[in-house]
Amino acid sequence: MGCLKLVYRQEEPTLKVVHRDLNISSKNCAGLYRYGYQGSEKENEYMNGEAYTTHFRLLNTQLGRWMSPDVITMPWQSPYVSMDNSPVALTDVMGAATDGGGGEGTRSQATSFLSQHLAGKSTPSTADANAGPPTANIVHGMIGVSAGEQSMPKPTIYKNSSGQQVSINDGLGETVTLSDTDFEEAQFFANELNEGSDDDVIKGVMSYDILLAYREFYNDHKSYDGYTYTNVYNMLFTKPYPNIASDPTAPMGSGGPGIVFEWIEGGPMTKGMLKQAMKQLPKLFRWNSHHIIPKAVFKKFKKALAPFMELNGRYNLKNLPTPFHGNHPQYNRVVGEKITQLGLDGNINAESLLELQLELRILLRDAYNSKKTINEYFRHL
Amino acid sequence: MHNQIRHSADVVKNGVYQLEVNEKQLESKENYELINSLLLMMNANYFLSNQHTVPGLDLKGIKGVLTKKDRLTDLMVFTPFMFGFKYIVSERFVECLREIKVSNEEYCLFPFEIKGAKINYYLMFVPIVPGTEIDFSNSLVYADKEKLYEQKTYFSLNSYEDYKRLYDTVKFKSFDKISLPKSYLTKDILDVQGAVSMFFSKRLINILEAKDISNLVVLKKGIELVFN
Repeated sequence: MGCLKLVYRQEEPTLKVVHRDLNISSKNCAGLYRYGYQGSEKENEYMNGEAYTTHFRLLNTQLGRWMSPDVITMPWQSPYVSMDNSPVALTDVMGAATDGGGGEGTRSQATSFLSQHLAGKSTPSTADANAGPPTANIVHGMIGVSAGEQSMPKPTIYKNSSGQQVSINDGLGETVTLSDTDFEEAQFFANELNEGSDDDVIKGVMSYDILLAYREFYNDHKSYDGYTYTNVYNMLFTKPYPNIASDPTAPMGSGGPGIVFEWIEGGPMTKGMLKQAMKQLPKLFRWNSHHIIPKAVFKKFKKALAPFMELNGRYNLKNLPTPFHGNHPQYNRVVGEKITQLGLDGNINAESLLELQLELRILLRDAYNSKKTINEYFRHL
Repeated sequence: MHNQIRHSADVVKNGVYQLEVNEKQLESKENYELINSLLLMMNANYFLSNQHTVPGLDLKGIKGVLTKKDRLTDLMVFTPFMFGFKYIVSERFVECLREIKVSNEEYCLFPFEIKGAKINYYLMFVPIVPGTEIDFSNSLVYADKEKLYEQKTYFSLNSYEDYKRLYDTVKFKSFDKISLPKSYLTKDILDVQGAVSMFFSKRLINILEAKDISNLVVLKKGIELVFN
């Protein structure tokens, strides 16, 4: 059964016997103890043992942040905040919600959220959302809520390659370029989500599923574009984080409480924490920057491409996980062939190269979903 | 009977080139401006109307260096891209062309020096058959994104102008079938505008395979080439 036999020897000190029989070479047992802060198990593979594993997620005690978003929506704080920013007073053994401080809206509320979530109830109750601390720094977007006295946040503008654009009043003020197919999807969300749209079911109340779908859509086309330092930094600490919750002030309809799309501002940040985060995050995610039109291909066609695009330009970079990324000569070949075709057709220009980058992004997404490596996926193209 | 050929991306470590042409040396040539505008800038219209001048270009003394991880092969890809010049070929490859007496009109060779290579290599120029020669009513063109589809939707095209107009809606398209006039039937090497990979005749492929020419991949599911 893998047990070791310890033999009592009167002539030797007990600890010495234990050391020898268990093959412990160090002079004490401290290095072997696997548990640390709040009794959680150390994760030695990450961050030189400064990470702790819990049931739901990984905690980086150097940063004081969870390394993945909260499984339970806490509308009043960033999903990466650990111990409600009170690491001495509070604990969070499961990685789901804090306990021990007795603050409002902590474990009991989170448990309620979680139980509903696991039971398949997709709409959180008004009471749950209302239970957050009154000082929570929440900025409501325009979607589904009458913004009232609040300043009107900027919409996100989605564009396609032929210059059409559609805006969605989500308050982020981003500009995202999409392929034609994805653009149609953006048009759908604009129709469904923008205030004053034709959907007259109930003003200010909308399908939770559509909001979730929009969040996924946004993440696919914006956040997915990169766990770049800037994006991660913005997501964690500066830019409002998109969240869906119920709003007691929203008008009530037959379907229940109003649901709002809201933006939660990032948590506090020190220079030291930022430095650590910048060092650790790429290692944790194991995502590396990838050139959509790779360096070697760009070099080969530089004379023709350089006037229209930058190798390290925004549209030519995408972060991809390492095992999927790997060496990809087949991908390079395919990209080279596509550029050759553009050249043979006399169509190398900024517009066609942008279209190529978008098409390659879609192919990379398909490749990622196929569970093959980039090289294997493009071998057959 | 013709088949498409290409280099092997498993042999070429970065997938697109294994030789780097010394660009500074190229730039120092007296006719660099012409080389640049005709071959390097990927100006298809200019190239197609002036490609007959390529065999007379002074490309003597151009040298190349093998990239670190690559090895010499009989068919080699290089950087920078030069219109009409897809490969640098070895003496063994050229011997195959001579053995089956491929017409000199179909290709043109420029001696190319590779640092450390013991045999002769040549820059091989193959004139591009312009798209205006393609019989589009008998060819099959589809949107590139349907490449992996079993059932493809083919565009209804009648002329090269129709094909060019497609660019407004579909930037990337591929051929499943290309129809050329019968006058091209006897050619052993064909490089057709719109088809990225070259076509080699069956007899040329046979001898290249028999001689075990390295880095040559014959595409089984390439574009079908027909002659009407």
